[in-house]
Amino acid sequence: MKTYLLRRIALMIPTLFGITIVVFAAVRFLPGDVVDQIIGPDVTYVNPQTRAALERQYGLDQPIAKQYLWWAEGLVHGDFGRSIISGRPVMQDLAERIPVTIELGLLGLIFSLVIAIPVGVIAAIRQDGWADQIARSAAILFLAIPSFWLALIVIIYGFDWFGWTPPLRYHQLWESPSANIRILWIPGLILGAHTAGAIMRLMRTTMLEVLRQDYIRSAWSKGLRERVVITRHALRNAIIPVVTIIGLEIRGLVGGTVILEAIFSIPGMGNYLLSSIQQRDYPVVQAVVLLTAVIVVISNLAVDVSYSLIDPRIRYSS
Amino acid sequence: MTGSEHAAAIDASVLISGRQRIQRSRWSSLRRFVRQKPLGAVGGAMIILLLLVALLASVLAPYGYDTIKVSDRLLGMSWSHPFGTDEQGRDIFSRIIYGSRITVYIGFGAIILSTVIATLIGMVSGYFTGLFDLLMQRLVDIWLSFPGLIFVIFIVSIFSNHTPILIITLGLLYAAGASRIIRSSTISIKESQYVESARAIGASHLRILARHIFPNVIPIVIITASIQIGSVILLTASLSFLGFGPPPPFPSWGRMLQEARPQMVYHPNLAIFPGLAIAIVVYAFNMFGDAIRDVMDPRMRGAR
Amino acid sequence: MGERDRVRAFGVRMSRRGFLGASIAGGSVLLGSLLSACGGGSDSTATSGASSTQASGGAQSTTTSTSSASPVAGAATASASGGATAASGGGTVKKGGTFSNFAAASPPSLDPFPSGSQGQSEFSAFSYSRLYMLKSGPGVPKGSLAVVPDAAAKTEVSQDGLTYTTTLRDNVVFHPPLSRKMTADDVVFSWNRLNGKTPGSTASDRIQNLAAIKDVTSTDNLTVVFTLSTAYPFFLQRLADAKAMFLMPKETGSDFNPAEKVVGSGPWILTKHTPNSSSEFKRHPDWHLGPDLPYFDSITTNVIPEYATQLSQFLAGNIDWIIVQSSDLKRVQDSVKGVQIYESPPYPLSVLNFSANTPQWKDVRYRHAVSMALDRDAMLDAAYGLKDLENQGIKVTRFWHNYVPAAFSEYWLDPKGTEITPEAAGYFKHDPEKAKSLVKEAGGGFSTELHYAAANSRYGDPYRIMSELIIEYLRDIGFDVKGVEEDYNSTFIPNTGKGKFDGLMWIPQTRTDPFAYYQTQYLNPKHGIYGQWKDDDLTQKMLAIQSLTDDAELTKQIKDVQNLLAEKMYVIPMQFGAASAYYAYQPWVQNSTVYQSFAQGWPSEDLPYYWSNK
Repeated sequence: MKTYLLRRIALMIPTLFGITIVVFAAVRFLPGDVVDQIIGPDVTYVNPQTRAALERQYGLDQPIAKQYLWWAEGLVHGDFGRSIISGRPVMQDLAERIPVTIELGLLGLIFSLVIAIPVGVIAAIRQDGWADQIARSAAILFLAIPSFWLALIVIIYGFDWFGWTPPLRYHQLWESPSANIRILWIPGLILGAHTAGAIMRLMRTTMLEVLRQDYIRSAWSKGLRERVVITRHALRNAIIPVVTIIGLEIRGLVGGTVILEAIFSIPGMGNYLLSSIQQRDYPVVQAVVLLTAVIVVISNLAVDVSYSLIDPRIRYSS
Repeated sequence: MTGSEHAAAIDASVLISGRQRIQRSRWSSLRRFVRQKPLGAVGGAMIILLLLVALLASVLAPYGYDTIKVSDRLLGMSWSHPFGTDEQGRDIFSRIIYGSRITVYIGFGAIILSTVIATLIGMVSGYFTGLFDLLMQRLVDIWLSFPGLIFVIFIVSIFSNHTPILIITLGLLYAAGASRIIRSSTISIKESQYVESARAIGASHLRILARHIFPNVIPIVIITASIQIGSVILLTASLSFLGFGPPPPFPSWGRMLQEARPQMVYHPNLAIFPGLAIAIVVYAFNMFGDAIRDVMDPRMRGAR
Repeated sequence: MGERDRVRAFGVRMSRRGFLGASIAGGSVLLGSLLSACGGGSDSTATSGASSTQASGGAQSTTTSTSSASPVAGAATASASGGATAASGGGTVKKGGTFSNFAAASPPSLDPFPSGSQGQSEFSAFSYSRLYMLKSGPGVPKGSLAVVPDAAAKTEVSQDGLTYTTTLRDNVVFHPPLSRKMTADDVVFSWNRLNGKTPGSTASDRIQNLAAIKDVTSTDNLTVVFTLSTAYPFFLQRLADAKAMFLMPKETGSDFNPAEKVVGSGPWILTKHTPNSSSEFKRHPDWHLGPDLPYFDSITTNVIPEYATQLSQFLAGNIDWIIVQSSDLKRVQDSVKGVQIYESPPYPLSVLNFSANTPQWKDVRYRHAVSMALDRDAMLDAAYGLKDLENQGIKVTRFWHNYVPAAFSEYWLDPKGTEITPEAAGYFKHDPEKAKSLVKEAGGGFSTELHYAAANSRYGDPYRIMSELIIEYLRDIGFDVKGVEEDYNSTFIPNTGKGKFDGLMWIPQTRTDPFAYYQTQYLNPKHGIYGQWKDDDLTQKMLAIQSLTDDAELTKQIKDVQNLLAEKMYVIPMQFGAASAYYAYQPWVQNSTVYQSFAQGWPSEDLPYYWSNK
């Protein structure tokens, strides 16, 4: 297990390195140099000394490889530079936002699992019954409906239909757990719906396959109760492929937070990304793109590790 | 082995049987498809309808997509305006019809590009293995780490939101995932006996790739493309909604939703129809993709 | 995301105008009693001739005493001497409580200078003082350009109008931890910082609002001398503009980072700020217009980007005000009992620019044809839903902007009015037939482009709608127009906005005095497209207006030149922002309908006078 973990982490290093290269290089395609971007289009006059100082500060007189190393060294120390617009260190602004996005993503994941697994199992047990039909149609529907459309409907008709208004302000989980959940549960549910559709379908399929296996038949023949057969025997095996798909869905979940944060004005990374793009605050944009990619990489590691815990074969075969 | 690789692991024998199935009479297999997979057939019919609508938009739409008539603004549904009009008096029905063009253009454009790249990378990488494969896979790893929506927004914000740039970005983004699947199947095909024998009689690499491997990965390529396209369309709609989609005046459904926001409370038709259009098209592609997968390769069930 | 900036985009704060419907009758009662309670003392010390004309121009101004000894506005004086002032319906002011404010977006920075945007200006006006403020309160007419001293006490102007000597109040105190008095050095420091002359600072867009200034020096602890390179008729209004200079302590940048800490001398002290979420302020107990003002103890600003959410929060009583879209006006009146609503006059102006690279536009017939192709009323209906309002039984006025926006009623030459020459008036009327014949005469329509900023820019929906309408109108008269939507930051502002485009382009601007529009458009080659056209006669005319000192003459000339501008039509005034904006206040917010300055300075101009009877 230890060597597997080490191997897995070693594979992460080139990936992380590559991510930083992509993020660093992409921004070089922006018109003008970094100082022009910092100064922004609205500025009419720049003190030459200020410009020279900025150029030195951003190492623009150095070769590009050196600029990269300089930037990457900062990243290692958690220094993402300063926001052009607000002037604050990017990390300072992000420190409060990263947990928000992660929480929303996790909430989406939890909702999707809580919905998808039981429904998928029931659909498999009652194959072709009405519960199965409803569950399957719902899954297909969730996969096709754009989450921002659902979110808009909740925002716009929520007050008219249910007198529901989102809380005025975001509260961090550690400040007020109940207020925090009151804000996040609806976007979390909408975020989870899409993933739930995918997971539910897979859950149903793998469950059906497992239920046809010999050892399940023998469990039935031993006269075990349905609940025991399903939870102890079938579910444990059927859930393994589901863990894999979680790994695939994480990218979608992280991406999906952007749009929901924007619509529900949740102060997470996605919201920050959008406003920073509008203001062309590229140190922030770089940091957010980079960090979301890192979150995906780490989550994939977590999924793979948990996968190898559930299914010992993986450890040895790789 | 990462999760995605695992999900993509495919047995060569199944592939070969899939290929044999394709070679049967076209008509009878189509009839069987419709009988076995009615939902998939409905999806397929809807896709054909979408293509026709996109192609014939200028004939089908009762008004131009940008015909403005302020005196007719925000009309409800009627015979002359089946879906009503927007705040400039433009006919929503016509705009939705024209909006199908962007959907088809970007959806198919991105998927075709993605498929071509993915097939090339996947086949070469899976066939040669070794250092090339190792490097290529690390590159794919990098690509697969960026959350789709965030990455496209990032690229579009740098290179502008013109349609070709959108297509290229989306194509590259989806190519990474697809190449993994194609690589895995290439690996298993490579191990099969007839490839071994071709190699034994001294066939060149190019010939083996073109003559033996390529025909056998085609089903996988089709399956992957048909499953991915729904998600491309959904992602494009999200982009348009956030203002990063293709530029106006040509309508896109996501953008129509965005523009409907201020009027939605009193004029729900402004939001309902573009939303429905997206949902129905994505639904059709999903259904069709599922059916194709089930027919061609049941083992891939659940992989999206 | 910020698309709710559209509210901001045309809903710039403006002075109150009229009253709507029965439910706001209370508002006018309020106004009446306030008038009698406070009178309308004008500020004699605002010596710029221009501003004193404006103060007396108001029909409602009952006592425009020009000999008031106090530099403070009437109401402020009253509150300072009278303690709990009679302010409304005979009740007394109840101090304390929290005003629940909202904003569509967070300010770009805590530092007021780098960004000249409206959101930044409104945010910084809570905590930073300026030398002057726009006057608001009882008796001040709508769109008034009158100013009252903020950190200044008085200003003397030299005969040639080139030297302004400002004396500061001696009781302006910076927020803790500085807690020291403001001196003339702070003003000089602020100017240098704005100009990019202090180490580490860059010149901001804001200096274009103070382009007349050549030099700022201090002669003693409380005296600042502004030397102007050219005379400017509305110079004190420039100092009062929240989009221009805020006063920052000279320790800024060395003792603390202004991007992380706000230390101003304004009415509100920032206590907590979470970007894109919320800000909290408490009252500045030592504010120079205190000690009674501001009445509220604290302000909470929550960021609510989505209009639908803003509306539901207002209906639920969670926020104290909102800019209501016309389609929701009736609903707000019906569901919030006693809601106070304001109609404020149209203030932002925008112009359609012709590219100097397109030779055909040199022919004035084409330019006139373009103007006559536009259906100005229909543009208002489409962008601002005026028809909806009329359907709800609300009377609306369809303003047409001239080269001065309709809000500056003293200087605005109404294109539909009687003062305009018939010839000039004709160029504003929707007359597609005449336009077509002009186009034909000039050599027929041609292919051209309309460049405009992308939908996610800060201009919002009305701008996008009007852009699409312009394209359509021009097609109607025989042009083959292609719309080119451009990214705001990377293309529209740095290239198109500076004249690098072919065909046509239009861009909204907000200036806080009428001449500022002329200056940016015809005198400043860096801004506006006019520099590429060059009409020496017109430039001479503008320069002559610039150095006028007589108020009556100034008003007359500013109006007259609009006839000439219409004849030449180097740019076309557009209808963006030409509709009234509707502000709704919760019934418990007292004084809200009385204190209404236009533009972005409201957090220090109006908000200190608001109080809650809840």
